[in-house]
Amino acid sequence: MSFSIEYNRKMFTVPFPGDVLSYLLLIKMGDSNVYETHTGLRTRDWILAFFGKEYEFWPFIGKRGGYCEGGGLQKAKGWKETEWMPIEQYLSIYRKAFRTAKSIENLFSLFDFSLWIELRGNKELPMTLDNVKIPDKKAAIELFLNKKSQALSVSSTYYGEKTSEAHIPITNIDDLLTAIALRGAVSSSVEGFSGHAWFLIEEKGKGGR
Amino acid sequence: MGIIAEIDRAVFQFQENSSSEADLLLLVKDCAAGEDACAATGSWKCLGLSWEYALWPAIGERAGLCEVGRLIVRNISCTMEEYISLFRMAIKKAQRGAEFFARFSVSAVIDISEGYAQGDIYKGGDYERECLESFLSAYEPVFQGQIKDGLTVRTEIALNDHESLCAALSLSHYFPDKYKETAQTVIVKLLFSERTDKPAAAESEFNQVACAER
Repeated sequence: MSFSIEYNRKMFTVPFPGDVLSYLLLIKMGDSNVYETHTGLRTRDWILAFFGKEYEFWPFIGKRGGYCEGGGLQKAKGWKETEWMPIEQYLSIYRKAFRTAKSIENLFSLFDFSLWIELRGNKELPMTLDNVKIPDKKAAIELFLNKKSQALSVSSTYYGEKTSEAHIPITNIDDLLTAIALRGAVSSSVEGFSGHAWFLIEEKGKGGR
Repeated sequence: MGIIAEIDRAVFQFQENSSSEADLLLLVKDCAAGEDACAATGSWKCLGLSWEYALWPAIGERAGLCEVGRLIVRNISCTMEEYISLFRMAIKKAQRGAEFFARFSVSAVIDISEGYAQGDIYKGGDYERECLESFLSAYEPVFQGQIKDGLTVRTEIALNDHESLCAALSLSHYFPDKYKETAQTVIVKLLFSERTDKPAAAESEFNQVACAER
């Protein structure tokens, strides 16, 4: 049975005036059964795993710790091996990460961020903003594209479905927070809309992901 | 944001034979912290029925709630690690499945609104619909009647064995009670009560204008 592997983590504090601290967690992880063809190593990517307050953070980490206990999430050991760990060990890793979290000001000196947006159509027609039937989603996407002076371009998936896509560099905290909210709004498939949004995160100075 | 008080927990294991992996049933009894007579008003709910490895995420999530004070155990706050140790002990001392049915009565409450009969506004695919209809035809209801101004038919089915319990739990995942603001047409909930308590039967809810949230 395949499992997920956690290679590394970076945690940041995000202050909001007049509010308690929020936390942003990046995790470098991959699957046990997916390999890069050119290196033979397992693929691994940084993901934006969590953004929220402390009262949301620990239940999130506790759940991941439960996956560790069950073997569905393991820690990397060296280049190729992995190791099972009990939930208590996973929690202690994050107690330390929480204590040593850096300010969000450090984020863009350590990582390059971009947001991918993909609106899915069918094999005949892409989904454009004009086709989006849900006003809130359409407005959120339009606002951000206009702010970043970006536009959707037409492409297609491996299976031939037409898509409208945008690849938007994120270079400051305000844009990142907007993009986090947009990611949640865009990634859904409901009547009148089918879309996906995800972050591409690259660690600076590490030669790619 | 309310604080959950966990009053009790129980673990039962169902094992077909000595060489097969046991299914563990995790139950917790919760109430809102600070409620008067909390122990009497608390309700049992199922955290999961599965092999042990699949149950730990739910335990871990609740442990995280302890850490931030959103869940307390018998009115005492505890750390994640302390909470986890409670469940390690509960799992180690898991009772046999037969003792679950001796101690608890459990029923599936299935609310089907008009939209289901009309075949539209249905949250679920053909497989889920087939499972539901198969379940309804396999078990005799202990109660069936209309609620909510006659727009919804409620069916209550007593669960007396591992197989029916598994089937009902699957249905409660396919038709959860969370799409309150949309036109969800099917909701499946499980009601657990200890046989020493008053019955947790859904019939009592028919006498109320609005059903209480469980």
